[in-house]
Amino acid sequence: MPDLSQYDVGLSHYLLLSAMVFCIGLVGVLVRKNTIVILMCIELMLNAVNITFVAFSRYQGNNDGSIIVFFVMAIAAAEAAVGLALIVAIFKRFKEVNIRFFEHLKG
Amino acid sequence: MENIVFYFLEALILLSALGVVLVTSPIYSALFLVLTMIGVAGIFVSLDAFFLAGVQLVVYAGAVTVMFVMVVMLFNLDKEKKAFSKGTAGNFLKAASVGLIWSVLSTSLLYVFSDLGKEDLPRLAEGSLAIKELASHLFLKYVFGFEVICILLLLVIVGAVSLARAKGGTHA
Amino acid sequence: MAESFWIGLIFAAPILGFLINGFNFRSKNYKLAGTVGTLAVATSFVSALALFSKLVSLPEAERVITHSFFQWISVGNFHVDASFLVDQLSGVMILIITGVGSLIHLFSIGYMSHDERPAKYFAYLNLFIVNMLLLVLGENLLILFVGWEGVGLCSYLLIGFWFSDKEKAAAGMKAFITNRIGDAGLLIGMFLLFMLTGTLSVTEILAQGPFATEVTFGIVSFACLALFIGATGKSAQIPLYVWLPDAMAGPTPVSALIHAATMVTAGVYMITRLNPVFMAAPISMEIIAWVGALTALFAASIGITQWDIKKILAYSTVSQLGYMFLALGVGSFNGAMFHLMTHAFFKALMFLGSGSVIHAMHEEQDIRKMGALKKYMPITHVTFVLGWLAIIGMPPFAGFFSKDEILWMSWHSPMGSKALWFIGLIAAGMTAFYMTRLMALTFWGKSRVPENVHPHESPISMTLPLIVLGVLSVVGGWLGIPHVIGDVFGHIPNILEHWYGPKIVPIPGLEQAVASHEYALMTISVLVAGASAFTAYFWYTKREDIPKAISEKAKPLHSLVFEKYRVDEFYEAKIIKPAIETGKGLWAFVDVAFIDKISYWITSYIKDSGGGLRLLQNGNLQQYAFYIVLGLLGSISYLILG
Repeated sequence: MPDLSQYDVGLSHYLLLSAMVFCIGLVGVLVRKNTIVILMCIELMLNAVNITFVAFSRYQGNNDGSIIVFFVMAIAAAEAAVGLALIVAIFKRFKEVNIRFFEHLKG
Repeated sequence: MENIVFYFLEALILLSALGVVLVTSPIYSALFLVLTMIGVAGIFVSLDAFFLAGVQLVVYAGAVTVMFVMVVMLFNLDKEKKAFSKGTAGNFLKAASVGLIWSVLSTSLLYVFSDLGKEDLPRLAEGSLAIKELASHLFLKYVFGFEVICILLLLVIVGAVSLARAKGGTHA
Repeated sequence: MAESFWIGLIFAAPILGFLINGFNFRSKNYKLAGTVGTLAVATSFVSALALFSKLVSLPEAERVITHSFFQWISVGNFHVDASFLVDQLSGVMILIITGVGSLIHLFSIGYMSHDERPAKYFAYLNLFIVNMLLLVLGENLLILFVGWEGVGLCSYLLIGFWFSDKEKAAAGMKAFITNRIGDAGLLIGMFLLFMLTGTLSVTEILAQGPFATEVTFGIVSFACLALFIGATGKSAQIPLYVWLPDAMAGPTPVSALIHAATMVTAGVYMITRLNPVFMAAPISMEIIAWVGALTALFAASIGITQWDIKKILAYSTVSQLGYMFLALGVGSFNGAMFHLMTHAFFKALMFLGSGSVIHAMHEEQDIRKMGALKKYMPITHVTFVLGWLAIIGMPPFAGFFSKDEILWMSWHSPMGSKALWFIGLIAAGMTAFYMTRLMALTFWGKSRVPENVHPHESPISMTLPLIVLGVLSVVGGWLGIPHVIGDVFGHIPNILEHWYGPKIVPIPGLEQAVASHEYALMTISVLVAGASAFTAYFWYTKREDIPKAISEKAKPLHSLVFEKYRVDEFYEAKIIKPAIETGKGLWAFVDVAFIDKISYWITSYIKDSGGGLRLLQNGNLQQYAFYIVLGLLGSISYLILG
């Protein structure tokens, strides 16, 4: 049996996972067309950050990180609610969810 | 065993996250998002954060994604023809920049944190004790932030309702 | 009452008049406007009288009243006070300005009775009085300059008063621009004086004297010459006299007040004010004397050929101003100031008289269409005769004494010469000729008045100033009776010479006058004037064919003189055209091809880069997010690599 200890999961694994999820979410924000999906991608990014907080919290034996995660969740939920409300308002008037359509909001 | 679970969850999270970004239909994106949330909850469990995992499931996988699904349903959109914004070259450039960020981050992470393993983890309070500790943190040390968040949520409720109630545009 | 009160009042009254009429400029009530304007200047005249009597009551050596109202400019060591100086020179000047000014204001009420904008006219006239007083009373050359520019402005406004006539508006502009050229000289002169003495205060400059006489052409000579260029502009001397004849486009009382009696004498006054400085620059003085003498001759010769009554008087004014500068140049500042005063009386009288004639002839100015006006306008005629006798230098009228003093000094003074005297004599003969011609064609001889014009005598408000000025034209000269004559009649003193004495540097090396020489010169000039006056009278009343025949025979010369030696055309061709061409060239090659190109290049560069940057702000939210990503990338790279 080969020595698999080098594959043992450590802090860096969590952080790498978090970085990847964050970057995937970021790409989604940058390239997706549908505004609702962009909001979802933002949730992805927030989750990636949450992973980081929890991992650090665990590996340093410190609960403060977990508390931050609570706050992040609360704010993420709030952000999603407001963002979706805005999208609903715009959709009701213009029947449009394409992010490029929002260019018309510029002065 | 723990390793296998982690890699499984990692694969689940990454694949479903890619699914969120790549699939054309918003409703599938939302479903992939649920999967991702569940995966993240699993990761929380593997980090001994059981309470957070529960909250993650309830708040994210339950409430937030349901909200997304409902909005998508409400819009009753025609079939999306394209997932991405116009400008293929621009999109590739954006993806490449993000890839660059990712590579810089990962390289530096590997350099800095490669020596921390599970063996030298500090001992934590188990089970309900852990939740108790969390609660004391939340309601004693961070009570001010907690109150602020409460007010914020209240405001968001009012704001979201009034925004969604409006007929849209400037003719509200 | 305190001197400061009178000095304040002398300014305040016309300023108030200017404001009242100026704010009421739409009013067509010429009686109201005229009364306000005239009362304002009359108040000034009363204050001038008060100041003058104060001056007289002071002991001879201390006849100076100064009052500083406030500090105007203070930069480092350089201070300018708003301070005013009343002494022998300015005391007489303010009497002339406000006295003659009041009479002309009174005359204007009648003259402007048919005008559309009398209030505006009187507002300008009052403003002119203010500025003229500033010029004369200013203790500082800077205040003098303010007044100098102010009278130029008023002159421009009043020449172009009937600006709807394009030619008249152009005459105003010509006056203004020509004066600017002179003003540049005045400014340079002031700078040089400041460089020499470190101050612009007249009192302080003169207190630094006596100035060493410059044998060669040095900085003092240069300063004096520059100041003289300023004087040629304002006082219409060669080469800048061209504006004055055109200035006759303005209302006739304006010509009388500004372009005969007061403003055009500003140059004479300024040079007299600084006479100790000028005496230190004999080369400049010689130039001044020659320019003056030649101007006198030149303008008089043009005057002989003109047909426009006001043009003749205008050239006569230029010629008489030439006399004043001749006097200045030979060092007889006293003579210049004397002639300035008598000229103010008789030339104002003649201009007002011509105004009365023009008014009666329904705006006709051509003397060929007049004649035999004597019987229609007796008062105008009589007063005009007094002015005529004064200007041609018949004793005992005012002009005789002042002109004779100038001629005598140009002969007698070591700074003068026989040639200058001779030119002056010829000019005096010409003056007598053209003035008699004017009289003969206007008032005497046969009537050539068109059928439809019915001349009439002017109202009392117009004849009263004529009468007062007529009397002054007779007695004005008695203030400066020369010693040789005074001795005969039992020691009548030369009041004016005595009065100005403390302010004027005596001519160095002036010999004792020989009575017989002086008598001889007087006789010669009176005879020359009398003979030419008689010739003109005979030709233009009895034998009009003779001058016609002469002008036919000497056709090229006559037309050259009649066309004013074509000086305007010469300026047009040699100065104005080249200047315009140079300007056009500079415009095309420097402005358009160079400066514009640079600025266009800069603006287009900025515009393009702005356009490029504008693409960054296109409202595309994902692009904005991308900028954040780029910033993140940059800061992470910096943290890790840096």
